Amino acid sequence: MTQLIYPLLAFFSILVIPGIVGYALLPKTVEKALQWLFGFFIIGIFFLSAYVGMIPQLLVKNIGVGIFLLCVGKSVIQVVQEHKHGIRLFAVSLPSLIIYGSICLFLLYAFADIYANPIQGQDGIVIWLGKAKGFYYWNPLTAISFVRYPGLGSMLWAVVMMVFGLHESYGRFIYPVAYSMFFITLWSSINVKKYALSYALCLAVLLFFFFRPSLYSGYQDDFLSLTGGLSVALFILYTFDMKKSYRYMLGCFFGGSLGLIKNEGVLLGLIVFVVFLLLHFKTMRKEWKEKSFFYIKGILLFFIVLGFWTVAISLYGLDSRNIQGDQITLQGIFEGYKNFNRIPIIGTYFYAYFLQNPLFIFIFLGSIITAIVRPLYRRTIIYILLIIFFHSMSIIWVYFATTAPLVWHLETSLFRLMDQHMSLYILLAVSCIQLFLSTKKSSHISL
Amino acid sequence: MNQFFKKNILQKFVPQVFLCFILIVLLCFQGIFFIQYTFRNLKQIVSTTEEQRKGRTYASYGYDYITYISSIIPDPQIFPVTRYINYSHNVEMLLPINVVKTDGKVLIGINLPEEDTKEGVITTAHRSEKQSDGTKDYWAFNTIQDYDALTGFRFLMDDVRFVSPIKITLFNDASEEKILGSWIVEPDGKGNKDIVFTLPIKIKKFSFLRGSRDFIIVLEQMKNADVNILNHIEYIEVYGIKVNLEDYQIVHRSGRNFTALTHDFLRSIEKDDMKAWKQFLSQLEK
Repeated sequence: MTQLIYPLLAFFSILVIPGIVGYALLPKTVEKALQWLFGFFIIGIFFLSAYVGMIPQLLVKNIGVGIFLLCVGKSVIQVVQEHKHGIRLFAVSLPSLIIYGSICLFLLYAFADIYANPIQGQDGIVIWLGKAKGFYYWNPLTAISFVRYPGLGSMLWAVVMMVFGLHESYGRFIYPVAYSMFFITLWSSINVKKYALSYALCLAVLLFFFFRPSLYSGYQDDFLSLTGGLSVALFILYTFDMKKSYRYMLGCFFGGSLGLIKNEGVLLGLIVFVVFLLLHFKTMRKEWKEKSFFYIKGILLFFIVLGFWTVAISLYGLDSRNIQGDQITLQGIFEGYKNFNRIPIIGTYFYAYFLQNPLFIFIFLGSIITAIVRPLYRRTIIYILLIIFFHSMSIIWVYFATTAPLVWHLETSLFRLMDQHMSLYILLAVSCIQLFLSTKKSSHISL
Repeated sequence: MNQFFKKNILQKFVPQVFLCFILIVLLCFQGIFFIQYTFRNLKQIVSTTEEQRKGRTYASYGYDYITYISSIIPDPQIFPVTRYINYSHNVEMLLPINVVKTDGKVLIGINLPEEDTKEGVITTAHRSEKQSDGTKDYWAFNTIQDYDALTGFRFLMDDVRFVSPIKITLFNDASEEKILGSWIVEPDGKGNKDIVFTLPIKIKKFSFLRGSRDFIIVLEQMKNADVNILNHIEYIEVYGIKVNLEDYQIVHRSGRNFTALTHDFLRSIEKDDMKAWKQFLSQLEK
C-alpha cells in the first residue's frame, strides 16, 4: 500500500495546485473548473516561455514556487473574505452528487490505469515523452526531439515530473483531470434549474461514453480536442450572456493555446476563432463602439498565444514552413489541388471511421433536428457544425498535400485526427439534450 | 383534473422519468465496467513495483537488458545505439537518464537472429506508378524496417537475356531530388537471365525511420539494342545488411541480445589503459 502514497500525492497536487493559481489570478465570479483550467494552462505557458527564453531552470523553479506561494496567500485571503460566516460543508444536491461522484469514479479509474500500465505507443514515447524529458532536463531547444512540434502538454507533463521525480506516469495524470474539468465546466456554467437531475445524468453518461484511453496515452490529440471544445463552449456561452465578458477573453486564451499543443492546433484555433467572429459579427457590431478595445484585446491575446511557438522557433533559426519534416510543407499544401484523384481512397477511410463511430452520425442528425425544431439553438449548432466541416476539409487537404505514401498516412493518422472533434460532439450532444429537456421555446439551459 | 394530468404528468413527468431511467441503467453498466477494471489495476499496483511493470510491458524492447548494460557503462555521456529486428523503439526515453545523443561506440542488439547481421534480401522492388517512357523504367521499393547498409541488386529477366549495359540511379524518394547512388551494370558476357550486381561501395546508414516511404530506382538502357531489355526485367531484389557488425566485436551475449563495442574503441581501451572500461568488460564476462 505504501507504494500508492507517492503517486496519489502527485495526483492530488495536480487537482489542487492549478486550482489555487487560477483562483488567485481570475475574478471570483469565474467558475471554479475554469479557474483550474486557466491555472493549469498558465503554469504550462509560464514554464514554456521561460524555457524558450533559456532562463536557468533553478531560477525558474524558484520564481515558480514564489509565485505559487503568493497565489496561496491571495487565495487564503479571498476564501476568508468570501466565507466570513463560515463555510457550508454539506450543501450538495442529488444532481451534483451524481456528476461529482461519476467524476471521482472516473478519476480513480484513470489513476489506476495510468499507474498500472506504463506508456505505450511509439509516437507517445518518442515525440511527446521525449519532449517532456527534454524539458525536464532543460536541454537546449535545438536538442529537443521534434522541435517543430509545440509542446504545452509535454511541458505540463515535465512540470509534474520536476516536482515528483522522473516518473512518466505521474505526468500523465494531468490529462484525465483536465477532461473532468471540461465536464465540470459544462455542468457549472449552464443553468439548468428544474432539469438538473436529467442533465447531470446525461453529462455523467457522456463523461464515460466519450472517454477513450488515448486521452492519457501521451498522444496530444484528445488534449487538443478538449482545449478546442472548451474554447468553443466559452464563445457560445459568451453569446448567450454578454455581460460575462471573461468568457470571451478565456475563449480567446484557450483558442490561442491550441497552437501551443500541436501544429494542427494552429489550424483548429483559427477555424474556431474566425468562424465565431463571422457568425457573431452582426451582434458584435452593435457593441463595437462601446467595447471595441475589449474585442481587440481578445483578438490580440488569441494571436499572441497562437503564434508563440512559431515565432519562438523562428528566433532559433528553425524553419517553421516544414510543418512535418519533408512530408508536409507549406508549398505542398498550396499544391494540394493537384492530387484530387486521391478523393476515392480518402473517402473510403472516412467511411470506415464513421462506421466505427456510428453514434457520431446520430449526434450529427440529432443536432440538425434540434436546429430545425428549436430555432434558439440554431446558431450554436451551426457554429459547431461549421467548425467540424472546415476542420474535416482541412484534414482532407493535408492528405492531398502529403508526400508520404497515402494509404500508410491515412492508416496511421486519420482516425486520430478525426478524434480531435470529440469534444465538439460532446457539445453537440449537450445541445441535443436540450431538445428533450426543454418544453418551451426559450429554455433555462443556455448552451 | 384531466387537463392537469395531461399537462403535468403525461407531458412533463413521464418523459423525464423515462429519460432518467434509461440514463441510470446506462450509467450503472458503465460504472460496473469501470469499477471492475479499476480493482484489477489497483491489485496489480499493490502486488508489483513500477520497475517490474515496466520490465513486463517493455519485454520486447529488451528493457531489462538495456537498463542493466546502461547502468554499468562507466561514462554517463555514452548511451549505446540500440538495434532491433524492425526499427528503433527509443528505449532511452523510458530510462531515468538524460540521453541527448546515442553513441555508436557501444551497440546493443535486442532479440536479433544471426542472419540479420549478415547480407540478405531486404525486399523485392515493384514497378512504380510513374510510367516508363521507353528509355527510362521506374521501380520502387520500401524497407519499413531499419537497415544499416545497401549492398546490391539482383535482376531476373523473363525469356530475354541480359545483353546490354544498364544504368541504375537510386533516389531517396519519389520527389527524385536526392540521388543516393548511380551505377552501370554490365552484362556478364554469358548472357545470363539472372544478374547479381554488388555495389562497389556499400551505402551505409541506408534506411532509418522510413515508414513505408518508397525508394525509387530509375533504369536506363545504355546502348541501342534490338530489344529493349528494360521491358523484360521480371523483378529486382534488393540486398542489404540489417545490423552491420563489421566494425564491431560482440563482448556479451544474453540469449538473442548482445552488446558490441567498435574495434577502434576496444583498441583504445587497451592502448590507453582505460580502467573503468576494462572493469566494465570484466563485469560483462562474469
